[in-house]
Amino acid sequence: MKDIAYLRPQILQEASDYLLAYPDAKLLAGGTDLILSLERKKVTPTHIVDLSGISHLNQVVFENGILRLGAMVTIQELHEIPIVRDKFPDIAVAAGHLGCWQVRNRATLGGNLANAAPSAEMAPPLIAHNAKVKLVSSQGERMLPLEEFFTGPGRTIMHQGEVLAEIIVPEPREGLEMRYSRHALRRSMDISVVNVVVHLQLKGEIVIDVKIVLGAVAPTPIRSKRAEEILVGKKLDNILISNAAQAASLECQPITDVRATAGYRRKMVQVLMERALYSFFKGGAALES
Amino acid sequence: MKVNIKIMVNGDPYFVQVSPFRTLLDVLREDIGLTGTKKGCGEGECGACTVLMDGKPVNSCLFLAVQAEGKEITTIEGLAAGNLHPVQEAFVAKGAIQCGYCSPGFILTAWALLKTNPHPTEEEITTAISGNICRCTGYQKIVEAILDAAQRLQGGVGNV
Amino acid sequence: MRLRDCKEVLEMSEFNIIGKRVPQKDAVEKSTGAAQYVTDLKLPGMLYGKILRSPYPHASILCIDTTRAKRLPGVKSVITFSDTPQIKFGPLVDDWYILAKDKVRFIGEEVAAVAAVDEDTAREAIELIRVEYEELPAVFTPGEAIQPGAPIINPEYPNNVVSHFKVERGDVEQAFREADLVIGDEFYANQVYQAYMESMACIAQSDGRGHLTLWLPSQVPSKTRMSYAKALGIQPRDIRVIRPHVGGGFGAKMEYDADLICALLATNTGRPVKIVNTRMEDFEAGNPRVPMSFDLRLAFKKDGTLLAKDLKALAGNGGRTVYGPAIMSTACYRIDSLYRIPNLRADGRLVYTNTVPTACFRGFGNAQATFALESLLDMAAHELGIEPAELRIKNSFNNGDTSPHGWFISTSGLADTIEQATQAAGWNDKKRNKTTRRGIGLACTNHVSGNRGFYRPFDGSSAILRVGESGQAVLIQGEAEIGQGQNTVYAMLAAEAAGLRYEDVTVAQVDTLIGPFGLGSFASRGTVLGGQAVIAAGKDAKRKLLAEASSMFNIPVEKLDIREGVVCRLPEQTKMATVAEVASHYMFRQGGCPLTGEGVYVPDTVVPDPVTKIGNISPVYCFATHIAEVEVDTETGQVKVLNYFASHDVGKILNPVGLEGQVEGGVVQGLGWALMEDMVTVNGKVQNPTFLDYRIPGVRDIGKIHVSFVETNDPKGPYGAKGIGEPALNPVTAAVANAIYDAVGVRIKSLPITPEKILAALEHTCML
Repeated sequence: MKDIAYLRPQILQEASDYLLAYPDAKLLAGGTDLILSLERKKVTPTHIVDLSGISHLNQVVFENGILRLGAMVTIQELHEIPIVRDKFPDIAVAAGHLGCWQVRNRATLGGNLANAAPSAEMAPPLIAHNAKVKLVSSQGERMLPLEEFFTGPGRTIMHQGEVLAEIIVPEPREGLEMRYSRHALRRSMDISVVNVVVHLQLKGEIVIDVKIVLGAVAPTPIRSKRAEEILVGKKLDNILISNAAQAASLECQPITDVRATAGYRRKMVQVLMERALYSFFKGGAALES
Repeated sequence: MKVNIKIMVNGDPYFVQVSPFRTLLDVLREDIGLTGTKKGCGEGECGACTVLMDGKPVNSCLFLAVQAEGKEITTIEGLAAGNLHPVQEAFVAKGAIQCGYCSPGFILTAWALLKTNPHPTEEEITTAISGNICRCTGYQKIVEAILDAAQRLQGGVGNV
Repeated sequence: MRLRDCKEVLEMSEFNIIGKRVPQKDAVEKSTGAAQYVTDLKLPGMLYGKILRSPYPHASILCIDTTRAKRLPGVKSVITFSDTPQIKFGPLVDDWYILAKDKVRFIGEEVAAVAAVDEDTAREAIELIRVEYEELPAVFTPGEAIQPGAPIINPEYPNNVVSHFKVERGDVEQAFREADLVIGDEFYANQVYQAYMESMACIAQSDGRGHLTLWLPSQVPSKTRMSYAKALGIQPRDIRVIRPHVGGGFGAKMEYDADLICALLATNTGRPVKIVNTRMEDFEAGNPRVPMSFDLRLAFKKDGTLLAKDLKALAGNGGRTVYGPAIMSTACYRIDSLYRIPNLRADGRLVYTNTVPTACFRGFGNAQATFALESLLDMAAHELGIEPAELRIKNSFNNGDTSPHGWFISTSGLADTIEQATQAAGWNDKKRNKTTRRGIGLACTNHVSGNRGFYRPFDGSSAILRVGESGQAVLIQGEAEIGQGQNTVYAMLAAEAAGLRYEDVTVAQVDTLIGPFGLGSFASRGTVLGGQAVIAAGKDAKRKLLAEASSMFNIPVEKLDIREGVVCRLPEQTKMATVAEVASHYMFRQGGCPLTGEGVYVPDTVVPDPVTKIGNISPVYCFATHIAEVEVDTETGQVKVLNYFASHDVGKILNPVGLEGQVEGGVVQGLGWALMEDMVTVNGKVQNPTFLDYRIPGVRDIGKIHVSFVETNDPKGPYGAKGIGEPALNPVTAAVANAIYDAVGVRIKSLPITPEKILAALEHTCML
């Protein structure tokens, strides 16, 4: 480990070149995950490629109904930026639940997504928003839906040499309501046992659009398409809510770990789903703070 | 392979040669000799190593020293020159300090909060310090101290 | 600070400083980062030590190859068993070697160690040591370990039972036969970790002539010296222990093997060596709480009178013995000084397992037993149809009672604390207006202030108060401040007793080369035993100051008094001199020797008889009542503590700030144990050795804590005071369990009370 080299590229292509040249290089964004992995020897990179020298990666731009978030934007910024709080409240709320203030000041959006923890706090709301990710390499760049980005715990669709550069989020349609909720065993500084994002639009009492994303209950964040199918086009009532919540809890594939059993996670999916769906009755006040 | 960096700590420049994986915490404590910043867990879960980076609280154990190049770092030693800072005064007066190992981290986090939010609610205080663990006090006196510090910073006397 | 005039100080209340709200003496230096802890110290030429720990729970060591580690540049010493004195030792049972001899008994056991020029090199060297193990069958729970045919961990204990404690009073069988209500159940108090913020640390330095200096964050600096001398095959005089600031201990920081490894590395290299546990090492090889399961039965008369208690306990010792035997016996019978129970029986076994050795943690076995007893009492109260508070008051010990084990309870404020806590909590109102999913629960506790059985050679404490030429005083003693505020109370007591100003008194850090032999911080003994010695030293200093003043001014001693640093003439209330003037007069008359007050306190405690167990282990006994008010989310199982009320019989309030701090901290630590803390161990491996996965309460996980005090003015306490550290934690788990039962009707008998356990119990109840 003493021989790790430190590289600080100024442009993205250069970062990509390093990754191609040194297969055992690791990207450094905020460092909050990387340093732990180094400490525990989960990774033994030959090179650390620090992205902080690439200036535009920490930009936040909202233009023409599109929010563009640089990969190096910190989680605390996401929690605080007025445009995010205003138009993408579930993203801001989710950001507020990641770690603690000290961690949020360092942790980056790109790092949270690229590390691909099944419990990654930022993934469910962004997937629900149909976010896309821009991957850049010296060969070029490509865009793909965030929903397709994760392939397993700690694994993504990125090729060697690709860098997650930007997350692009379209402004939600008028009338769409968003709920982010999580269940953790401690009220702060804890990884979610379950997190649930529900985007829903009602016309009268009929659900005309719905998207449900679950975190920490499968190898990757997942859509609960079964629950969505149950809900869409139907009148939102007790039975429908119960059916949709149950479908989501059956559709997820949680594991048992030191935080919770698989069975408990399933139950919590059902509870959080029910609570989220019921909250749409009450005119959308209850975004968990 | 070591890297030469210049970091600003409490307004003073330090030139150090570090391994890329060396944390800011180790550089502060071992190389520069500022041991007021404590190592509680080394994994970003206790807040004892909190320092301010450009005024924002960060865990110096989850912060590579190479990342500190060009940043202003404030440690507990740099909070006040001579007399106690009002936040320190409040922590002392309210009995918010027992073993003291977590205190520098709490005090810096509290100061970072009060700089941007001079009249925080209890809710805002507990959100701000939720990344700091204290095993002695049960937190109650720490929250009281931060409320008291807010008063002191407003020029109020602060009830001792 | 100005000196007050005589009229002012003499007409002040009975006490000048006692009872005032005083911040910690060293809070300022802690707030600025100037306070130095062992982890902060760096000596010239210092090396860094690292320990190679066993990855197996139970294995024979076939061979160890250190060649590559020794060759690594920067490595100064690599040691294995053969480099140690090879002496068996241990605080209670001689089942320790400094480094493992031919087998390892738990994951984390010390196998080899290195000293190198920096930590990274030491770490790298550790990885270069090759050890060949042969795994042995292992056993992880006490229940399995006592089964016939279970793997044997220590051949000297062929059934794995390290200690077996038995006591019986009265006629238990008959009492159960004649009882109106017999109630019994099983309870489990799990293994938890103290989670002090400064992990275990040591710096050792050898002078090359066989003398060692150890800088330790120790709760028991003087006692440690005795144990370590034996382990190293040297005399206690050859070890000097210096205790700088300590980042918390809660029972864990007593004898610790890494200190001895550090000492050997320092001796080998001739250079100072520092070893600091990583947090993970501290989780895996620290000194966590002794886990205990209880089978407890109680017998009552219809009117709630307690007739009998029958307790069976089974406890986990881990792979070697720290303080388990004493903790086990404490769990078996300390609680018998809480309620009058004429017929008692306890049978407790402490059993080796291939897990981390277990040790002291705030409450010392009494906390475990309190969970069982106070839960079962609540269940009995429901059966009997008697209010929980009333049931306890009915059976509580009173002033001047003696327990069946011979413990003399000079004062008991138990009933008063029940009264005070229920009042503060609005118990009756909340019971009458109970809302769904909210509940309120009560639990009581007793505790000691000192433990005569802990260190056989002596009980008591001593202190030296040196008053210098400027009136400044230094208190030298051997008790160990570990963050609880003990030095602050000592400075207050010294100032009060000697007539000095509080700000003129400083308390020296413990240095065994200079100070008296102090037993240290355990058994909530600091305030009472150390405090009495400090008062005695203060009085001695005052006596000498008065004598000096008397001869200076030719006024009889009876016509002089000293308050707040001023010598006054009585009854005129005129100022004769300052303490500084008198002290400097004394010093220069004595060839420069400062005026010194010496204080000794030897309590009338009685070591329990090894056979009958009759004794009286503490000069005073403390009592408390806690009430938890909770809300349970019946869908997630999550418990929210809304309010928490703690009332303590503290004898006399010395420093309200310190008392509140101890109680609030103890309550939060107890809430962590009650609701979330658990060392999850699978096949001897701790699964959650980080603060992320081992959840201790954060600021948002606790309710509002309301603390109140009862003053019983115990004639044996310093100005009437009692201890506080451990009783602050003891009753929390049961209070929470009882509140949860009140809220949602489920009784969780195994700690911690997790959301999953509550949900499972709720579902079970629904099905019935």
